[in-house]
Amino acid sequence: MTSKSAAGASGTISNWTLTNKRREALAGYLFLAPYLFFFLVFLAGPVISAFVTAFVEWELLRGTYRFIGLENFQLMMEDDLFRIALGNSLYFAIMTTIGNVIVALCAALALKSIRLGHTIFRVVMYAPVVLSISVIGIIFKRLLAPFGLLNGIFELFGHSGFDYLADPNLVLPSLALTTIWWGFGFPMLIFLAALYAVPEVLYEAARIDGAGRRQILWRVTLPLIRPALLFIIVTQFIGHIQVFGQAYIMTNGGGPGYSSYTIVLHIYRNAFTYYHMGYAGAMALTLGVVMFIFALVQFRLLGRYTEY
Amino acid sequence: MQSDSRNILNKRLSKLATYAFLTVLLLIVLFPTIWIVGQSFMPEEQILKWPVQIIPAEPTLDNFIEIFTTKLSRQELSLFRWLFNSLYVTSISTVGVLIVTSMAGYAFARLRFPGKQLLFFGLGASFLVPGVMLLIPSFMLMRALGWIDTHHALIWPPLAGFFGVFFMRQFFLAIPSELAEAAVIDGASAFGIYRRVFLPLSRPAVATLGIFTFLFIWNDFTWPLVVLNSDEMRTLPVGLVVFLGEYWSYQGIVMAGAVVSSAPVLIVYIIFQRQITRAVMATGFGGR
Repeated sequence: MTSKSAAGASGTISNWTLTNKRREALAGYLFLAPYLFFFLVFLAGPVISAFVTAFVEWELLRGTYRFIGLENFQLMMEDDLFRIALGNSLYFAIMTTIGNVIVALCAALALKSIRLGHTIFRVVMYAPVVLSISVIGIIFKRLLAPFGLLNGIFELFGHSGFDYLADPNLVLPSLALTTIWWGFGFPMLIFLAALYAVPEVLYEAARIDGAGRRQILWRVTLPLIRPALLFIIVTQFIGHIQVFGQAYIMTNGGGPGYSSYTIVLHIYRNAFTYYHMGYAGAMALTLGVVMFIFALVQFRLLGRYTEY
Repeated sequence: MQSDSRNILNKRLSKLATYAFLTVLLLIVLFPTIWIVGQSFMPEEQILKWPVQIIPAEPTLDNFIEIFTTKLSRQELSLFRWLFNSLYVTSISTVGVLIVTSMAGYAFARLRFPGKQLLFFGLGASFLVPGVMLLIPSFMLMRALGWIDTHHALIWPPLAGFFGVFFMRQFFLAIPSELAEAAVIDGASAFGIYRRVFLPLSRPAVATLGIFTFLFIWNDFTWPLVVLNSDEMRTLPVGLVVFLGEYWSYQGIVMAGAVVSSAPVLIVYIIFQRQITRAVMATGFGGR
């Protein structure tokens, strides 16, 4: 206190505010410094080196490290496994995103319209989200096994069931269902928040105008929660195209054959089994940049749609 | 009149349908969980019975005793080691995240300095960088630092995450400035105001962020799988998968392992479900 009033007494007012401003700026930078240090080392640094790695031949085992321009990307174009893996990841991401959005939206709409038991339904349905993929993978590998729970239920109806994780046609849909079970609670909460934000008057107005339940859903509710929908669709897609743990745990890294071999498994295997760091880096960069642009476009769109 | 009573009937029916739908969804979520928990208390003979058994006929703790007393792998390890590793790594990292991000969030919310907006958006752009892009460069960084197969590799990188900064900034922005002004008049320094005015007020936000960070680090799978390679260093989620790969034929043990490793997070979730729900709904983060 004394130092500040002394400064105020000795200098002019503008002088006083100037030093005060400087002090505040200095404090700002000091408060930021620790975070900035970690950000630069563990985030900015790796982002920059991701761009370098993609253009070098980097064999960790042989110790080679040389600039090769676009060769990694050329290699990628000729790599059949890359194409298969990308296709699998896309298929999985589309199924999971659509499934999650539908289940979560229905659940959110239902939750919004009830009061009794609301909390218990909501709490239970979000609970799987807090579990780790290793637990989910272990549970569902058992559940989907030939003598697992799901076939046990089929048995009740006299059907022998399927071998979900060993059938090339069923394996990706099975992983998608697992992932929806694991994660739909999250978009459900986001949709619920968006639904609560819609002013009740709008529903009343629509009802007075004679709109039916279905019309209200399509003409009032969905357009008004469009930002949330868009946000969820894009973030879910970006998240699920990077699927890794499910296949790593449940199908022993992409089986049967390459039926559930995903792009991140391919990157993981190239980097940490074969140590082709440059090639794996190029694939990761390609996927990363495409997803980054995707996210950026989404945020531009969000900005445009939010005013209502 | 008639249309009125029909309306009421319609309303009742739709309410019934809503509850039916939610109950089905609830059962789909609960049933696998009940099955797993049931199996973890069953002797192996009952588990192998067909059709599927749900309720343990003679509940036994054998699977749990087995999983905590078996020596996992060649080293003399037990599940406790991985539990300890997870707890150790997660708690240190979480405390670090809370200190670093609450300070940065405070700077962005409450202090004026040149370049603030630019810096905020620059750092915020890191939100959009997909994890897969960082995997290999981060691994190489750990190698360069000599951190492969050490817990440093798990503890420090989360401190660079922007979510905490954003979350704390939002909270600090909402605190009325009269409180801070009073402290300024009292002659408190910037750090004094932060520590004596804002930090005590932000206790609920810090707690929520702490829970989120804890769950996130505790559950991480890919990163610890990549940077740790010896059994005694592993965290619970990775250790479990590696270990169960060898024990896959003993279903009861596998299920007991799943129960043991999900119990801590489920307990944390149930205790703090209100904070977690509120934070997810307010910020749009915390998903899969």
